[in-house]
This record gives sequence, structure tokens and C-alpha cells, in this order.
Amino acid sequence: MKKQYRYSSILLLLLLAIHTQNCEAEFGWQNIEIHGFLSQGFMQSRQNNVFADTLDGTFQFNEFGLNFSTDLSSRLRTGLQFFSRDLGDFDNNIIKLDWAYADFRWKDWLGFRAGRIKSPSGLHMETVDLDMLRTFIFLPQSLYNDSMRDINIAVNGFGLYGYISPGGLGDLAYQLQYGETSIATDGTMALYMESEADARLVHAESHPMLKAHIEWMPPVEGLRLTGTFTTMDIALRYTVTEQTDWALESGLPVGWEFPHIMDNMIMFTGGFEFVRERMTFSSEYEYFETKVRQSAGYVGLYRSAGYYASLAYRFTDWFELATYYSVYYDDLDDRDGSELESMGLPKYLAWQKDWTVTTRFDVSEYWLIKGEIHFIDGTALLLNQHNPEGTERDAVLFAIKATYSF
Amino acid sequence: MKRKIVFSGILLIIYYAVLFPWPAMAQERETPQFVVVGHTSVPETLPRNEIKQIFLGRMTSKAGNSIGFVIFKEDTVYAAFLKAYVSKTITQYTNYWKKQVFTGKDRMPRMFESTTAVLEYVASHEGIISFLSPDDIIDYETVHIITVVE
Repeated sequence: MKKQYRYSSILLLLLLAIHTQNCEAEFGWQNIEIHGFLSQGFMQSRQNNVFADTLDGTFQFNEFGLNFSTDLSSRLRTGLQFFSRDLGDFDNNIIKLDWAYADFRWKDWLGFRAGRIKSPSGLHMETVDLDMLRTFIFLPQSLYNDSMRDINIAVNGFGLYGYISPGGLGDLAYQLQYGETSIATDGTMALYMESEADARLVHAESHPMLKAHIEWMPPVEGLRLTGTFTTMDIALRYTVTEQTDWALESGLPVGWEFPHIMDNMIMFTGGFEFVRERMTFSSEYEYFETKVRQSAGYVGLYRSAGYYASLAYRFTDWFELATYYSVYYDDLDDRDGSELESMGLPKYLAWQKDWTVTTRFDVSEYWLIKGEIHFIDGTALLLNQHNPEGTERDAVLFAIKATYSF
Repeated sequence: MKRKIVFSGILLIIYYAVLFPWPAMAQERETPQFVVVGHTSVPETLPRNEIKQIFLGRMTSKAGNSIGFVIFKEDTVYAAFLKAYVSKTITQYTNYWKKQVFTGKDRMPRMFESTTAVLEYVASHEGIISFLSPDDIIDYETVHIITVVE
């Protein structure tokens, strides 16, 4: 039924475009644009494994994207992009449909999209996989947590968008999206949730998500402000494994299944970017809240938050230097980890703070190379699967990456 | 100690970036190295902000008629135009359009290396505007210079 709605909406957009345009658009292979990118990197860390088995160094760090698009009329556009990546245990080069949608731009202030649409959040979520469009190799994980890609990266559904210039107030761009996200039981979010629960995820279901994103460019040169609001419900089901100590100690057997319902999940992201000549300064904040229900009923309200500030300076056309400081708290009611410590756990599980320095070299219009170093305090976002022997409070991660795009 | 050094450095850079006088951009607006040209179907005057919206792909129609643009890819003229009207460097502008392409929202702008190619395209396509060095303007019946107003 859901697929029928999706295909019907695409067909409706096509018919609308033909009817309103009396379209006689030329269509041939020469009108299809093809673009792509390929990245390969290397990571190594000290003290803890970060993203992958990085203590020994790893080349399991690449991305590939290829897209095809065309204008079917002056107002109707369609296209799709295939994407594959490998980041340690994440995705393992499985080719996925990154986006595929029809876009009917009725007016500059109102357009319609239907299909699998890239989902905006903050300054960078839409381009989180596009290494050539940013300075940093890894965006601040306090907001752009790689483990949460499944629910943040794209939506299967509908969208409205538009650009407005209310005289004297600058320019506004907005997007509204409604649809579902895909949560695979062997995907990035599954690994993260399994790390949190120390159990195996056997079923994941998300209910329709509503997202509103706005960008305001006020009449101050170089300034851009963003705000994103997201709400959705997620239903998960876990099974107890031999590693689920908390369950086994409670007498629950291996194989016992339990639900984990995240009701009324809301996420708010706000931030700004200021570009002046060769300098770019940006900062963002994200708040996350959800009510959690398990077998015994309502468990409680879970709240987390993160923020960062970054600075980049392009010294020449081919060299840019940048830095950011990022902070993430996994539980706003236990920022200093004292509650974790009272349960016999390290208090530094409560936060993850990251100071990063990056260099970017644009070798040519198509090639670039980046080098990056992270000084990480805390382990809130590290996965137990990567660190089964436990973690140290501090870690250093070094990454280098080359990207070709066309 | 490490955090104090980092934050002090960031504050210092922000101070110079925001508070230090940057006269270069104002001076370049007073002495443009380019003119905006368009097909005769495009109005003879366009507001500055509309020029920006057109070249960012946010404005595609005016008074019910389609409007678009092409790029003259000569670096000095290109950079001067972008700085004056779009507030971006060539790299920033290219990345803006790459984002549009790789998220499926639009296609890369059409670009030409020569003045003649730009003028021929503008002359033969209604609703198209571009920019050129004032020294390279050749008379075409269906091309006129557009006056930019605030």
C-alpha cells in the first residue's frame, strides 16, 4: 500500500508537469547528467578503537557514489543516486539507493518532491557522505553521529520546499518532509542500539517521520542560520545473547525477546554559519528526547544533547586548515557520569569531547587529499563491539583520505 | 589549559575576521570589472538580490516568464562577479552547485570559456542572463546590458 502511494505521487507529478507545461521536452541520453565520486581513506587510533578496528590501522574506509539526473520539463526534474561505503563494520560496500525522486517546481516558493529524498538536518546532514563538499573528514559526531545514519540520512515519502525573499529580511529556504526511514537490523543504527543494550536487534520499525527544516540568510553578508525539527516513533525488539550481562544476571534466558519502544521522539537542531572572505565559522546545537517503553511499561524520559564550534581558513586555492571542538552528553541528567560511576561503570561513558584539526589539499578541480587528527575525551559514542575489552578515557584518531569527484 | 588555548585562538581569529575593516569588497563594487548581460526578453533592470537568487538557482521565473543563467568561466571576471553579487568565492560557488547536484536538486550550471560562446547562447535563449568583461561586449540584436539596482 505504501509503495502504491509513492508511485502514484510520482505519476501525478509527471502528469501535472505535462498538463501545465504543454511539454514538448526533448529527452534523450544526451540530456542525462552523470556525476560521481570515489573516496578511500586510512585510519589509525591509540587507546580505543574508533569507528572500526582502528588500533591496528584500517583501510575499511571508503565511499562511492554515482548519480543520473535529467530535466523532463522546465519544472520537472528526476534522478537517482547509488551509494556504497565501508566504515569498519558499517555497510561493508553494499550498494544502496541513496536517493531517487521526482521534483516538480510549481513556483520558486513551492515545489513538490516524492520518492526517496535526502533529509536535511542542520548545516551538513544532506552532504554528510560528500567528502569533497566539506573540510573535515569526520563531521562533529556530537551532531552527525555516524551510528544514527539510518534515521537521519533520507526519507521515503513526500516533501515540500521553496525559497522566499521577504523584503528587507533576507532570504528563506524551507523544506517539509513526511515519510518513513529504513532501519536495517544489520545496519549502522542496529549496531549502535545493540551496543547500548548489549543485546541483539531482531526487529526495527519506524513510524512516519515529520521533519521541518528552515534556513534563513539575513541581510548580514555571509551569515546563514538553520533550524530543524524532527519527530517520529521507533519500535525495536531485542533478543538476549550470551553478552547481555544485565539480563542474564536478572535470570532472563538467552534468546528471550524484549521490546524497546521510543515514543514521541523529537530532535531539534539549530545553528549558524558565518563566511567572511576565506574564513568560515560555524556552530550548532542538537537536543534529542524520547519516551522509552519496555516490557514492564514506561521506563522514563531519555534526553541527550551535543554541540560544536568550528573554524576553517582557506589560505590558498589549494590549502585549507580547520579545527572544531565537539561535545556530546549521552544523558542530560548525568553529564558528569556520577550515576554511571555509582553503578560500577566508568564515568567517562557519559560524554564524548573531541578536538579535531584538519588539513585539506585541493590537488586539482577533481582530486583532494585530507589529513585529520582527533583528540577524544570520553567514550559515549564508541561501540562496545569495537572495544569488547573495555575502553580508556582518552583516545587519539588519525585519518587520511583521498577523494575524486566528477 | 589545552581548551583555553584553543578557545583563545578561536576568539582571536573571530575578532580579526569580524571587526577588522575589510574595504576590498566595497572598493570592487565601486569599480566593477564586468557587466551583466541578458536576452532582450529579460527586463533592462534587475535588483541586486534577484541577480543573486538567479545565480543560486532559487529564482527561476519572473513575472510569469522563465529566467536562467550561464557562466562565463574566465577566472578574474568570474571571481569578481561572484564576490560582488553572490558573496562567494569560485570554490564556494562550485561547492554550492555540487551540493545541489549530489542531492538531486538541480544540475550544474552551463559554463562557457569564451565571450563569443556566452553571447551566442544568451542571444538564442530567452530568459537567460550572464556576465562579461565590459571590454568584450559585441553587439547582438537580442542581447542587452542589464542595469543592476539595489
